[in-house]
Amino acid sequence: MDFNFLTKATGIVFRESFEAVLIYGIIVSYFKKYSTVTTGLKSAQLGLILGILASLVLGIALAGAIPAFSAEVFSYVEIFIVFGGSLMMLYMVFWMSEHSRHLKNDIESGIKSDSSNSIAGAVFVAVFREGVEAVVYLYSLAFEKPTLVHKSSVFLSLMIGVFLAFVVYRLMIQGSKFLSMKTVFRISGLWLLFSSSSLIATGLDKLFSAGFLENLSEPIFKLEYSDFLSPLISFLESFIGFRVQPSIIHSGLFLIFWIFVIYKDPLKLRQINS
Amino acid sequence: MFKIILTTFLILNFHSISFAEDDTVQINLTIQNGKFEPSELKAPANKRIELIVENKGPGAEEFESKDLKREKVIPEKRTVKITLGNLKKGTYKFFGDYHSETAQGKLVVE
Repeated sequence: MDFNFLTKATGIVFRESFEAVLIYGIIVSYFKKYSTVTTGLKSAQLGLILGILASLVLGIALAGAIPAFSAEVFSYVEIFIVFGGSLMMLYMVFWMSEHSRHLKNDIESGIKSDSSNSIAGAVFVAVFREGVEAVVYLYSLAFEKPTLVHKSSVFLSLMIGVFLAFVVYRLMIQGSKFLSMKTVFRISGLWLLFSSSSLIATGLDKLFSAGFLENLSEPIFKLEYSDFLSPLISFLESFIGFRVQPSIIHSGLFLIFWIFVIYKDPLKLRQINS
Repeated sequence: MFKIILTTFLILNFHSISFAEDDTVQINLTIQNGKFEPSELKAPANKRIELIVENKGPGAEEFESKDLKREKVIPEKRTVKITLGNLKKGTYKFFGDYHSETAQGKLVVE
């Protein structure tokens, strides 16, 4: 068995599942902390299962099993899912905020169906976005060579990658036990807000890439910065969807999003000292 | 119903015709054996750029560029169009995420 091949394939599987695991982990640790009611956990699990299934089906279709399902058709699916995911994550933060206040009065309060949809939806999008890439990669890798050794090492890399992702998940759940309710709420909420914001930027890039909204896609300015800041800048770009050369539509949506969030303060950060 | 379809078709058609004139530059890029061919592309500034990427395999590839803000999975034996739009002068790096040690390239806009 080729060890180099195995490490590389495992690395890619782990990297693709890492982001999904972080979102799933913070949502689950929030529910473990906050609620004796298991509806929230169940919705998160539903999102996880649906996300894995959709990644498998659409990934295999895209990798060549269904010729009609072209990369172009997939980009429309992707655009829809990315923007939908952004909205559901934002909605979830506001729901969490409302729920944590409500919880003090009524610990047995159930979870309304609209919010469990958004929980499942947020997890679904996180899993699907990375999962489908992992499936396309592994599927075509498995057909590269017909030997059984090759196919088993592809399968093994999937297993190890998923196992490593599970370890990260367990560490997150264990770690969150040492944190207070309020801290878990704020970390989860902040993470979801950042993800939601970065999905807006990703969604716009995908729209431009597919040839939509071209009149609005040109950069309106270019931010100049010194080289030593570039790791920070690229972190901000991928983590919160900041852009050094923003288009007019990106700047507009990005500003509206953050003004809205800061004004509404769903994480109650303004009460941090109270 | 027929009228609607016809009108939509005509609008879409005109749309593509109006762009297909000399404002658009199409650049071809091939991926084979985990490498880009050519690894350095050139394009004019202030023209609408379309990148046509063909993956000859083996295996899938993800065209990714932090500079261009593009990320696109290209299954084996498929060709994908990636619209880049108007770009300012400069060098834009890109890489293949599934073969990142070997699949490296750049687009020079001048």
